[in-house]
Amino acid sequence: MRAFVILSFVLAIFLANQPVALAQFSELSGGSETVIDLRPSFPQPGDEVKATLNSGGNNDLFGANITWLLDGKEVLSAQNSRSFEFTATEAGVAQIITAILNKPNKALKEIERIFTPLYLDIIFEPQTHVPPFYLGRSTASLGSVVNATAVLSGQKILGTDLVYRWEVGGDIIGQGTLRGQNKVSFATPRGKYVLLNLAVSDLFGNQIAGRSVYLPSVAPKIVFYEVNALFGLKQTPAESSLRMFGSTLVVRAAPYFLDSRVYNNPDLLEWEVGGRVYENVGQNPYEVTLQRNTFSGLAGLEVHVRDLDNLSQGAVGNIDINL
Amino acid sequence: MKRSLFITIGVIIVFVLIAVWVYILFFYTAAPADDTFTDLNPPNNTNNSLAIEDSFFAAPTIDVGFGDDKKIVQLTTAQVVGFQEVSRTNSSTNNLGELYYIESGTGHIFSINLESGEERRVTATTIPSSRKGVITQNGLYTLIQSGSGAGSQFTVGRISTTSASLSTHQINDPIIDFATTENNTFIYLSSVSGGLVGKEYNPVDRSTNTLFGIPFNEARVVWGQTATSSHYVYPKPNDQLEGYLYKAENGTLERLPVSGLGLSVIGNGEHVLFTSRTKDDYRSDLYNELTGETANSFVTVLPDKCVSMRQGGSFLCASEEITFNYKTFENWYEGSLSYDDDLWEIFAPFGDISFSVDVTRETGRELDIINLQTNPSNTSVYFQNKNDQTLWWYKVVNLEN
Repeated sequence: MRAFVILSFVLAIFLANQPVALAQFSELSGGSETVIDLRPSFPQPGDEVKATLNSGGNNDLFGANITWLLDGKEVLSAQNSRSFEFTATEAGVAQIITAILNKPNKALKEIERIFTPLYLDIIFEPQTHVPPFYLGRSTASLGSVVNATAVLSGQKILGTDLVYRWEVGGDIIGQGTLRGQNKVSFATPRGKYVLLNLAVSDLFGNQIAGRSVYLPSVAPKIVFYEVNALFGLKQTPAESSLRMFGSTLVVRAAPYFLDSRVYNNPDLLEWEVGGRVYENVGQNPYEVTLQRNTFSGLAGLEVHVRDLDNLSQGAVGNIDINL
Repeated sequence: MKRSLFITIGVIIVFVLIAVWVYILFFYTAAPADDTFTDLNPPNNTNNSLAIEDSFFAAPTIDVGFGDDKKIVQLTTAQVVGFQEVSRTNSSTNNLGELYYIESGTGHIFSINLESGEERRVTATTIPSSRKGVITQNGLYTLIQSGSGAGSQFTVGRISTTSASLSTHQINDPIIDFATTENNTFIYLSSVSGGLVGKEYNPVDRSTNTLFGIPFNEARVVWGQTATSSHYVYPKPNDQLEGYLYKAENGTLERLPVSGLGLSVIGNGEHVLFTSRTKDDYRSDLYNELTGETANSFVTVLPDKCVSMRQGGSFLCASEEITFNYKTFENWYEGSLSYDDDLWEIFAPFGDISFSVDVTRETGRELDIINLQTNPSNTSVYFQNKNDQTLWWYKVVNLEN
């Protein structure tokens, strides 16, 4: 009876730790299944891909003659190599990688990996200000909102009913995976370059694509442009000074990469002429109209825009006005 | 000497000077000089009406450079926001027609006869704060953007052949970008929830046709010649952000194997000339859509300064042989960098290049060339100087010679 109780106790402990025990048993018996690993894990079309046999500690590869096949064709240069490199094919076309292991005991083992190269494009749209004539995309600045869009495409752009997991600067957006959310918005975290990781899975949990990209973040700056009443903003900025030829001069301060919310509703927006606060600001607070008086020479013109809750969202610019 | 003698001599001198002054004042006549002065005395004329020569009222004539070997001539001194070679008044035998242009700020449309250089105002209807415009190739309709940003308005105008007034109506879509087609319609990009949509607008019946959708907002489109042609779509370039190229055709977007930091693109349906950032500078490549191959173009160009020639499959690009750095294009967009361009022709698919014209030597000016546009017969390329928005004409084939 005593022996039965001890045996039952040992059996109960074994069953309670069954997964661990089975894993240990598996290791003792030669490790896990041999698989083919890909680097990058989710290749895009045209990527240089490295396929590597990973035996997981078992004895499959010991003494085995290795033959690689790519889409059914033998890769002669990779004979008996544990890895080989190739170029991923066009988008949306499945590729089959096969490794045939011919063991010393004449046993054959075939390992296969199928993947489909897909483009996973991540398009950042920082919501920061640039002048209307600026042909480029604006850059993010600390605290500014960034819209990110994931576009997954094979031969055509795929639907968005997939599961997305967005991670920005170490924080997971939405606290987890998000179905159908190929667009997200987030505030730019601190750092010159912010890492964004995106994993895309199908509705059954199989990851089909993934990418990591850096989002650059810069400090806002101010550039001055002359304004013509008829033709609008002159597209050549004032480098360090502006010459006043007529009786008036209209100058616009164009903040670059300033959070659009701050641009539209700044806590502080102040002009100074010759060191004194200048109040004669028109309908557009980023424009001042300067009128010539008896003074001649150089006068400093300065503008300061800032969000007082986030002091890094701001800029100071100054030029000389040559009267 | 005595003091009285001094006084006497002084008085005599004073009297002599007074005498000389009186003589000059009343009796002296100046001898006629060799210089010729304008005769302000009108001739005797019994007619009280003021005679003014007809030339006073004539439209200003632009020297378009015919009769000489100039390859590049300046067409306007005014700032221009749009232009188009039109064919409706083309009655010449040498295929030189009329060029319409839209004046910046006023939206007035002018015409330049490319044979005689005569300029006339076609429309006098003012569209204030005109910032961009296009004109259909038949010269009958125009689409003009006034203002910029969220406050922009988009006016469609019918250009009359008999009157200087423009018959107008508005397009209420929030338009981002627009162009005209060979079929005399307009194509434009407008904002919708979640992205952008490409549309065709027929100004005759005012109907709209949706062409394709774009799942993001900060997009640039390289428009095809017709609404049903291939259009290229990519995110606006940024030297630190990756761009990707999509082809819009038959209502869908297809991803092309073209991407890179700061990507900018021009394409002609078969070949794509694209420029993207390397580690420290930029490089340009040609992608052949038929073979799927990519080749280096040997000269780095900014596709904003290129146009696809309508025949031969080549691209004409303005470029300056300078050392690029990764901020070069951003500085150019900002306006703090200006180019001194020459014109190059890049032949697809192999990327062979040929030097077309030394612009500075030809014009005596440093031109920062933008908005290149070919005419239908591929014999002319019109462009603007970014620095002053003036309009210029490059005679690819000089039909006078």
